[in-house]
Amino acid sequence: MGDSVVRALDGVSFEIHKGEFCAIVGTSGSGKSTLLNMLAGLERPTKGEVVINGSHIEKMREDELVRFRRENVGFIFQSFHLIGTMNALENVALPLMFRGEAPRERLKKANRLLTIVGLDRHKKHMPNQMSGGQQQRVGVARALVSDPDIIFADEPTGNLDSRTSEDVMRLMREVVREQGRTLVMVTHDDHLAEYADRVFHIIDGRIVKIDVNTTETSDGGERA
Amino acid sequence: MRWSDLLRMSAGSLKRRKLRAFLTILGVVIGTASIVVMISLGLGLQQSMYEQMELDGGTTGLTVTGKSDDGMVYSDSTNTSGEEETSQYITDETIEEFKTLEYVKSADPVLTVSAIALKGKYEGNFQLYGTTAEAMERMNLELEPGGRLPDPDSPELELLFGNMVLVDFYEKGTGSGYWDTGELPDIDLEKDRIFVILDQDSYYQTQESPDMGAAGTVEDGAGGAGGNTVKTPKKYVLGACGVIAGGPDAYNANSYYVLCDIYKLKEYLQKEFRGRSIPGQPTTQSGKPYGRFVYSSVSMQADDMEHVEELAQTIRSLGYDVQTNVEYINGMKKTLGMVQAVLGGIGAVSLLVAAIGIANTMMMAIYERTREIGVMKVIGCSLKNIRQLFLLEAAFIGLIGGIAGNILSFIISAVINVLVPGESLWGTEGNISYIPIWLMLASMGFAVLVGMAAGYFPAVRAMRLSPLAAIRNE
Repeated sequence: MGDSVVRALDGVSFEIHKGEFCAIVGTSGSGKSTLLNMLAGLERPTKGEVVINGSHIEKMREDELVRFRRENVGFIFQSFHLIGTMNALENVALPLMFRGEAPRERLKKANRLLTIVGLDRHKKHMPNQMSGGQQQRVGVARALVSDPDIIFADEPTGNLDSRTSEDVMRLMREVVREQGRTLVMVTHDDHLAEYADRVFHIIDGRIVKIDVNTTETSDGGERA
Repeated sequence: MRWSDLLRMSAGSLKRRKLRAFLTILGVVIGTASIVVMISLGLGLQQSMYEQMELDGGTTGLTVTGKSDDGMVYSDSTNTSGEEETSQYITDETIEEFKTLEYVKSADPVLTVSAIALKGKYEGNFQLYGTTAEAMERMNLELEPGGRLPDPDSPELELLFGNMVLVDFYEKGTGSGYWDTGELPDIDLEKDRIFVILDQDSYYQTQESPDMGAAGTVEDGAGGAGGNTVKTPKKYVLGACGVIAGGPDAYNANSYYVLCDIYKLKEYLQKEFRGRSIPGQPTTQSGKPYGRFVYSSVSMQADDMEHVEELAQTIRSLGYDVQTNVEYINGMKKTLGMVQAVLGGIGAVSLLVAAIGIANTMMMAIYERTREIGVMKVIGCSLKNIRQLFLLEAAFIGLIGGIAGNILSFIISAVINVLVPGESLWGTEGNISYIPIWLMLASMGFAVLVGMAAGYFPAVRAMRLSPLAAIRNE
């Protein structure tokens, strides 16, 4: 009788609107990462459905998922995950390369995004020549370059010190607002979650609370 | 992804681990080189065998003879001509007919006639081998310097002596020749003009020489050659236009012949035997010459070695006798195939080892790049592209190894050829290691193929890696 079923997520149901910045907050082991993985189609739910833009993620085969991510999803990782052999520009252009865009086109777009994230002078730098904050800016640019409908960020500031974290968070929020992107961020930090429009608190696989931040008071930058 | 991007990415990842890539490639280099060198030895052997066969009449050649005419100098008209009147003689029409057959590259008439040569105190028998200028051209004869092929437009019959003709000359008085004395007659074939006698019977009759064949005179009478009175045969003073290279010891297919233009020869024969039957020509029942001129045989070339047998069958069904080198060729092919398979197999073992090396390297690369592969999948690199990336990387290893291996084999092959001259091993000239272009291309292609085969399972493994592994934080 030692078998006990562990449910990482149990009865989670919510909707995210277009152009919204959502944060999923919870302690480690709460199931927040599992939730993000399912939203991004990296893990399959045993039951239930995930619908993005009308597409049922949970029914797709792996190659369909990859294509779906390529066309509709941007990703920001905790440990940046830049390709070590490529410079900043090439890293940003990578998702477009997977789409088969011509080098000239994709480098132009990547160039523009690196300017937006404030890395004008680091375009030719390799990842190991940049600080963590700079690397994550490249990561943000890479997530944005393919014009995704939705961006997932998994503890985007987890490997950064608090000052840089604030910078990156501000940048993310600004860019998302300006370009009208939908961003779903997972974090264990309640404070960072205040940048979001809506915050889902998750404990033991259940959403226990949804906070709605009004735009003015949620400006964490001024509080720091 | 674009092909250019795929290529650049996989080449780039190969550059990342230079030493490891180098060692893996080295394995392929050795594997490729051993296969190429081994096969080149087999091909060298094949080449020398073909050269040997070329001396014996070539691989695509067919010799067609008529059914009844066995090429004897004297025709037994009384017994056979009755039923053989409709048999298959080789006439000009026959040649034309053969030329229209499938697979035929060329068909040329051949007329062989025995003749006697006189020069000073020497006398010799030889076979005049008349054929067309084109056929002689095709024989690729190697002549002594200054020689040329007989000119069909020359006013007199020009002779091209085989390099061993003189061996059959003997002194008139003693009857001793090269085989007895070990010395060649003192005749310079290239410069000296010699007497040639076409009408041998008359010659022997006038000579009444004791050393001539008794059968000759008897049959001559029975054959009813035109003139009843013995007539002194005409001696033609003829000069040579060339001598086949090689000297008295180097045998080749034409060593014992004296080549000349067939139409000229025909003209001479018809003039010499005017009103009589020409020796070797079939006669009608009454002993009169057959209406058309009949050749001894047809020398044919098939367009390809593979078609020789088929062509031979076709001609046999037309009622002719055909001789080819097919039996010999087939036996030789079988031997060669076996030798080459064994040699190639030895080489293949080392390429197999290299393939294991490639698979190992690719596996390592995948373990190392698990995270990268995962990230690529998460941000939208299709499964197919990931598999292609790793397959291409393995193919690169194979290609570079194949190219370098070929360069190495060229060096090894050159060294072998310099150190071990061909004569000492196979007995004929030529290199013992021979690398044709197709072998180069095939070995490179094979190396790429082996690389991709070895890289296939690692590539599929990379494709199946869970993207979760990448974003899972360590």
